[in-house]
Amino acid sequence: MTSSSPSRDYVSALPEDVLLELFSAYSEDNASLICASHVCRLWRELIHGTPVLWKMMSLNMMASGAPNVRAAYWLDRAGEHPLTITILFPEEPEEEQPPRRKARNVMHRRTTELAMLLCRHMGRWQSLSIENIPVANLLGFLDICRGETPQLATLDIQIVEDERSSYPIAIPFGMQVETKIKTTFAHCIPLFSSSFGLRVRSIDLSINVDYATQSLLNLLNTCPNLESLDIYAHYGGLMGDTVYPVSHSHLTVLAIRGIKDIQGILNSITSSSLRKLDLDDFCWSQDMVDSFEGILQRHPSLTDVSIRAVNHVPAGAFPNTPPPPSTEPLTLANMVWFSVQRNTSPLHPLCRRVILPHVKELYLSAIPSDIVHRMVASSPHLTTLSLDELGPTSSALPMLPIPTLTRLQIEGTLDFLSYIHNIPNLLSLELAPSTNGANMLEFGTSRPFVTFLQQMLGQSHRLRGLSLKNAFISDAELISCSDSLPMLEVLAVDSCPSISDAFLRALAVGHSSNAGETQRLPRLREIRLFNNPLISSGGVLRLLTSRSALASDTNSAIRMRGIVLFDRLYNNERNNEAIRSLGMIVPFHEDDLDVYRWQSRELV
Amino acid sequence: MVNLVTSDNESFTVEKAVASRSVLIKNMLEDVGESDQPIPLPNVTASVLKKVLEYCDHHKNEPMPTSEDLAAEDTRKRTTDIGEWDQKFIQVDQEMLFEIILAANYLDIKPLLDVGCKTVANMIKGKTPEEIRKLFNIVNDFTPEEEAQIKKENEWAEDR
Repeated sequence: MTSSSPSRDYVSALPEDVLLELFSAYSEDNASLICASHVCRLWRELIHGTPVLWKMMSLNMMASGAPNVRAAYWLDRAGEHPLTITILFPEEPEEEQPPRRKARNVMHRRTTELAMLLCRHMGRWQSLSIENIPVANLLGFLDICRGETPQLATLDIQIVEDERSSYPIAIPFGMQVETKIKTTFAHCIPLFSSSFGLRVRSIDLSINVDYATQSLLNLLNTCPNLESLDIYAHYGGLMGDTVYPVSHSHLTVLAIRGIKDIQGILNSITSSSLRKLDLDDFCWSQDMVDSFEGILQRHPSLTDVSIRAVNHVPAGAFPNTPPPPSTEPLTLANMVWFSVQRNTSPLHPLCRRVILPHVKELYLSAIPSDIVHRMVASSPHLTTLSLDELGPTSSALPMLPIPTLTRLQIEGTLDFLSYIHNIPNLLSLELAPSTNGANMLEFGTSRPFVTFLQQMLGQSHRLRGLSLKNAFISDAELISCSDSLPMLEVLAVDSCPSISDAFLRALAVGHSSNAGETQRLPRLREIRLFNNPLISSGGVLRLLTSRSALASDTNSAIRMRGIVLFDRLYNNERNNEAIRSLGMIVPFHEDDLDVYRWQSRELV
Repeated sequence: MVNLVTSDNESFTVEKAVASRSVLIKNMLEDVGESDQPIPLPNVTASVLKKVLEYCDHHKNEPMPTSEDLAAEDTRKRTTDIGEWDQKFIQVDQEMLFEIILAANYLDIKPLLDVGCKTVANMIKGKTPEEIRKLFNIVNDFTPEEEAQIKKENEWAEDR
């Protein structure tokens, strides 16, 4: 687009309704809205005369002007529209007094002035979000803003974190109309009036449970119509022998992370609507195993379950003489997504009985291979299978056809691959063998990594994404494998010690000297290379240059993109700049690698 | 197929599915029924219609926004995000950009109007009023009294 000034004022030729459409992009961006109103009289009159543009106000308590003056300006123009109010508090200065005391005094005065203005408009609050507010300021704000909030739909209060971290805060808002309210609280536990609590459908809490068991119980009891409950106890904590009289019969989503003993909450829930259960960072005990089985049995409505305990089992958590395991099959008829990860051994007897007739995605770690085999065999609709550090196979198992499978991900031992066959629809394959000595020894034995890989590729001609991590495979072997992958679009090679620039040369366009020989991986559009010690920036640059040249010459090849991070020895910043100019990402810091790995965790 | 005639008398024959991305043309076709009569578009030139039809052709298989979608959009958070293909499509000079916006408004193609408006919004974002005036050749017509009021509001424009 041309950046020089045009000879005509095209923008003023736009009709007013189109100009308003343009300004509506700034309904959340107060600064851009104000800026646009300073351009010319027409724009200013249009913006000032359109109340809907002023219904969202973002008030920075640290701004040079008083936030209540700014809020009044917005309120004067917003007409009768429901209001979305965001109030942002600054970080407190780290220095000791007097700067901290002075800043606190300013914040206290500003909070009071703002609350006195906003309380006159509580009937129009649709959304209130207060970020990083010191608890004293919040108490002052709520002391002034008391009353009915008939239009409130979302309430988000995040107080400043300190070592105590979970203040009980009474929310003095009333609600007599049938509105559903979504709430989020950080470092505090709200206490609602009964009229308000009845309307609350969603609570997202980030708290320190150790100081707040009773407050949490009060909260849950005042919100009997909850549909979604997400509790994150970032410092861990225990609930103790708390009794929960409310069953939350409308609950559809339950996520609890960090609380170590959650069996009391699980035992209290009975909801015919429960769909999603996410339990993380709790401790296993016999009671917890029983509670988990109980909630599965009471809720055939469950479609998504994810369970990840802490790594250790506390002493005395299980009786010396455990009860005999049940052999009754447990059919989870509606389960679509099932994940059991981290310290899974207490659940092995249960997993052995589970039947998942409609599951599509299975994520299992540290589970004996025969149990995995049984679960997969009972899942005729499986599309995604992710296995991590499976236990050894005690006896030979039958071959396992999975014709519906599109994504297979295996970390650790690859032995389970020996049983998988008939996977014609596989689109994505991710293999990361163990990095321990056993894997090193695997190279050159009767079942080296490449044998597993060839076995998989021989059945998966539609494969579009391939990821190899920590794999001992040579350039020649990977080149040979590539020749059986005409559909491959994304290739990730991570920490593979034997893959070098020679492999990249084989992928370069025009590499083959034989006329008529087809290009390798003709559909390759993305490459991700992380920490491969024999791959250099020069090698990547040559590959990209050759592919880019062909893309612009013929429009037939696809211009490649992706991410690459080099071993320090082979890093060359001049080449990196050239690689970036061809559309690839080269992180400036190795520390960013985990972020990029996470961002690119999906292959296709 | 549908025959469209531009203000500079150029004729375009396009698939009905492509032309019907325009609510104006879709309604005309429904009113007239099956007909070989060309549809005149007196507010659109050939060069602009060609570009508009390129957009309609690319999006022809997408569901048309319903009135519920449009109503929901008013209550949802508005953003300035634009899809990858649309971003490349709208990389045109300023005159063509505004012609496309006007044509999308006249032809009632709401998604294209959104792309055009968001593009202009992104061009404005982060710029000072003076830079915006220079970018679009807009005259500053504020009175000294208005300028004084604007000066008081300046801190709010800097508070991003």
